[in-house]
Amino acid sequence: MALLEVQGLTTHYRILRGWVRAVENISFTVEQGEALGIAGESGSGKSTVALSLLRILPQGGYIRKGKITFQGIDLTSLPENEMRKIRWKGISIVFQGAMNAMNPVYKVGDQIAEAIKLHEKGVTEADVKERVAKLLETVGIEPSRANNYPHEFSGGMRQRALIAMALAANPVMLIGDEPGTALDVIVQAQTLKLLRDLKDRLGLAMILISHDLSIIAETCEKVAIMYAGKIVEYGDAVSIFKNPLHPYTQGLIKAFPSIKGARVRLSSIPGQPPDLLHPPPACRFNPRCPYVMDICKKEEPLLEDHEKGHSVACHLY
Amino acid sequence: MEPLSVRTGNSSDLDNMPKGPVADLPPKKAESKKDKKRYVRFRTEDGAIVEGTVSEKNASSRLSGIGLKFNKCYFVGEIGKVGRLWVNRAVRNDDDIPAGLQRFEKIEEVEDDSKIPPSPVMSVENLRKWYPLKRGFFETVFSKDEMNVKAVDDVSFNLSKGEIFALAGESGSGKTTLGKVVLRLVTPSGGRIFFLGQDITKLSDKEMKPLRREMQIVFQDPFESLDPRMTIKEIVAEPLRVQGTVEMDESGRSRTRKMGEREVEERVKKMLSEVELVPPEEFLYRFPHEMSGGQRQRVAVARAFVMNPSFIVADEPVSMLDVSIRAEIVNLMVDLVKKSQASIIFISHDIALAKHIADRIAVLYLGKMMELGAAETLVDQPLHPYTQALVSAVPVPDPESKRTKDVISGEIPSPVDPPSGCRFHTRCPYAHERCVMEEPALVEVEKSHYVACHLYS
Repeated sequence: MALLEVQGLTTHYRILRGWVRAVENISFTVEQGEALGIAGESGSGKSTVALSLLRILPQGGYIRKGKITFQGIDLTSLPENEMRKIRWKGISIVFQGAMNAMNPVYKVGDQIAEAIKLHEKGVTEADVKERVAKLLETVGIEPSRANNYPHEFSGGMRQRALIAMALAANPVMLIGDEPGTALDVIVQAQTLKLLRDLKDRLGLAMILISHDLSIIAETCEKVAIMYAGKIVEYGDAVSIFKNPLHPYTQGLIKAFPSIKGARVRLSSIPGQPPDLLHPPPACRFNPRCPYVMDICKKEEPLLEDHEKGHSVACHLY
Repeated sequence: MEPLSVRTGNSSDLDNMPKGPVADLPPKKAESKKDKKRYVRFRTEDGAIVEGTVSEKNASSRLSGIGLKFNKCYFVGEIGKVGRLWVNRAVRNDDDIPAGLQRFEKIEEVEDDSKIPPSPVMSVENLRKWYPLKRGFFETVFSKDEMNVKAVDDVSFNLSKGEIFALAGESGSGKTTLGKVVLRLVTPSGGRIFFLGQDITKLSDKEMKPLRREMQIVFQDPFESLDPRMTIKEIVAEPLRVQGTVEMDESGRSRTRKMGEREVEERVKKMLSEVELVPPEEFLYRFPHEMSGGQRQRVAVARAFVMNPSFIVADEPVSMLDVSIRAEIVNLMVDLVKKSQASIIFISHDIALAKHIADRIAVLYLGKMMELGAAETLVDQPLHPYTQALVSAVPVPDPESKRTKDVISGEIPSPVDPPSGCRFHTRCPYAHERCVMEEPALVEVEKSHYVACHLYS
């Protein structure tokens, strides 16, 4: 049985003009020690998936359908006080924007200590201190820097400290929501290397959310490509990047300027992501798809296995 | 260093110049009826390079030079010899030249017009921007040195017509400051900037205004760079209204004129269709919040190109946009640059993107230029260890490719007190003693490939 199994998850946001269909009927699984990458444009619902897993959706956001089974427990029906035990200890999250994710008026060490104290009753002060030092060491920060305030940290160090904080309660699964964005390439590469090392060393399961396909290619074994709230392609990373099937995935991969190879004119996906209040009927990608057929506007393609471990939702296959 | 050169004025200007004999010009060829022009380039005593064409018929010439704002100038001397330069007065003979006149070292002759190297639109020499740090009373009294943030430190480059010149580097490397300084949005602390043959380093805001029509900027964030209370038409029309249009009157003199409402609208519409906001009528009266990020950035591009400028700074124009839209905006800018022959400084932290669109890339680190070369060569065969690190840190969308090199450790040091010697030595895997002691100069290692590293000198 998979560590995390998501089935038919549907999350909508209620606004005055109706429901924003942010995430629609998505399913995936993550095994122990496995990394899943969720890629897509902004507004494709990637972050909403992460927030749904932890049930920390902003006001107006509701999980309307679906099941999230984590270690055999369905998270969607769990009462709030039980859910609090899952957060941090079961699943913890590293947010986007390392610059603003920490409280500027508390010392970094104290912020990490807070997470430990809240989730483990009866730990002694000395224990906590030692744990904080160890956590900082794990992510490559001098333990003595625990007494610094966030503004005394550089961007890369803050990102590391955030990762340390996410690991405070020894979680089973780590979600990284755009962990590399807003960082410089070199620092980003350092952060990704750290995440990979941690995954291997601690046997963590990981979900990495990013708009940058290459980050996912380097870190994850499994990939889900999201478009307008739906998973359009899902499967193991090697076969998706070697043989992208969905026209959207193909477009995304081509839109990336590659550091290798000859100079080419970049290709783009014309058009814009749809308005999720009124998504296009049937296949949501049909207004932008270069291979659009009649059936694409009438019937919704289902996510089906194309080959073993590689499924795609497209009428072409 | 690259040879610096600037040429302004065209041959018709030369013919209109007052006649005044110049001594010791190369002998005229009797059979040549045509007015033969000679291109000369020379370096004056103070190091500036003067360049221009000399008309034999008129035996006088108009030269313009870097650092010497000449309207008229005449030179005296022989090709290949040391000569003298005479500014704003006709030289009848050698005795007319007052003492202390600028002397030039060598006159180079180029007979054929086609051999004349294309003149740079902009050339920057040892440009510096240091921000002084505020200090307390005791620091002022007791410490000797003034503390400065050396955002841009001794950077030199040339920008040719129609060139896409990328500035790459981490945040804090001084890319944006350099972009602002060359536009004179920020006053430089040292060095010189020549724009279209004119030294603009010390021009006042008022003197800069007519030049502003030739220089524009596209900012990073289209959500913040457009005024939310202006319609798209007003945003794109603003430069037209401020600058007016330039026209030639009967006597051939140019003057600026305010543009009429209809004319402005025509220009805005044309520009909007050029940035593919079609039909333009649909967008004219929209507000920025009614548009997507990609469309807004198109508006920002339209605003920059509407004056048909010869120079544009694009400061991370696509880093805030989604990947699928990024390519569209980049391609649009490349096409506009090709069409209008504008030169562009493309600031980007994404060296992979720079490789695909730029002609040349300059890599900055802590305000210093580390490497400069043709885009493809620089990325495919990076010489400087920092460039190598930058290139190898770029993630590759291929799950099977393994990083060949380890990621370098550490982060960019503070520009207030940059490391001694080579600024990169604290993070460089190849650092040796000399790197700590001595600052490497930017030297040409291969043809048009410059690097500042002791490994190559």
